[in-house]
Amino acid sequence: MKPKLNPIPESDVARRLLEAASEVIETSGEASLRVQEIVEAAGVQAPVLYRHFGNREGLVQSVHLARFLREINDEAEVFSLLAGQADTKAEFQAHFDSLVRAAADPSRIERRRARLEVLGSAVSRPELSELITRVQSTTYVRVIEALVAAQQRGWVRADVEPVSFVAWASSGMLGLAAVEHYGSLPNPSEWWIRYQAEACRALLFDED
Amino acid sequence: MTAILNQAPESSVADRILEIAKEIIDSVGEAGLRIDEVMDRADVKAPVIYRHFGSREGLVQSAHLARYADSFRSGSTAFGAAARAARSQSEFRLAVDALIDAAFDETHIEARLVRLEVLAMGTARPELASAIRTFQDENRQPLVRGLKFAQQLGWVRSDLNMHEFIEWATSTTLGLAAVSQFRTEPETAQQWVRYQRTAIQTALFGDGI
Repeated sequence: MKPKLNPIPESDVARRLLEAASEVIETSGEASLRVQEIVEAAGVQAPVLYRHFGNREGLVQSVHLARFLREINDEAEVFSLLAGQADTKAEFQAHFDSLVRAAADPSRIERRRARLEVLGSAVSRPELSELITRVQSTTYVRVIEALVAAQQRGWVRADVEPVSFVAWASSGMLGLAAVEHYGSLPNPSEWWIRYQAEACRALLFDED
Repeated sequence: MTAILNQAPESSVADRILEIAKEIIDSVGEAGLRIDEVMDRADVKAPVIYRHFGSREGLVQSAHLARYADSFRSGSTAFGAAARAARSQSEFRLAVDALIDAAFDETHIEARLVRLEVLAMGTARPELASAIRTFQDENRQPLVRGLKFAQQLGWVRSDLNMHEFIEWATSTTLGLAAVSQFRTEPETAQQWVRYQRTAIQTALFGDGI
């Protein structure tokens, strides 16, 4: 059977299967997921799993997509930091800085890890990649709009292209996830973000 | 049996098995790796695989580690040599520029995606993660040396912490992999490189030229 992507299941049993699988994938990675364990944890028979997710692969991809959707929702909260109206360039700069810092906050370490795992696991999965691409294309609209508005008021450099700048800045956050898991220096969220925030400032703003 | 991390096997049979595993993961991802297929293609029996790699999991992790190492060309070595041959700050800047060109070149898209995939697959695997860490530390030595050389000559900001800078600059490269895989507009990747270049120059030289 083919994998069925079902990240937001309507039926109760499918939700239980997805939750059980999420727990395994989040704690020990997708390679350790055993269908037998999942159906037992969800209290169902294997055919139920196959009916809702096609096969093991469908369940794994559904978990990844569900994690991605959760992460995106959570990120929208961070973006709301830019939604506040700024009256001056200095205020806008402060808002932008707090956005970058909030994205790198130590409390978001698991979120960043989820993003790294999901995106990396999608590299050899064309269908999952396509869905992520589609979801992502609508995610940063609010930040992009805020940058466009600031640019119109002359606060942001004219040579900044808001869509691709946001793609650069947000994709770079994967780097923090990598450093948090593979780096050799302590407290990355403290020092890593200094470099990222400084780069953002240099790219966005002319010195007064 | 427990997984055995064996990314550079000495025996030719193990090497053949590893190459096949790498090929399979490259094309369909680790979830698509079947021991039967590896046995068929390598023309070996299952116990041979288990003797060298412990388990399917050992073979997968070994293949990931080997793929990760393969994804780095000699870019940092070339930079280290060019940096230390520089006779002025402007020559050093050219070396940095060449490194950026090489690191973010379009022909390396696949290599960057491999890195993103391996790092994602290693987060829940302590042994693989620690092997990746060791590889990274060694692989970055030429970068550290090249940059320290320039810093001693006053060509690079004196307050720059080299280890932090290198971790930041190399880690953000994953962003380009994500952009190439999950963005449809082709200009996004070009713009990404432009922003990254300015970001690196800002950190190193305190300007955005």
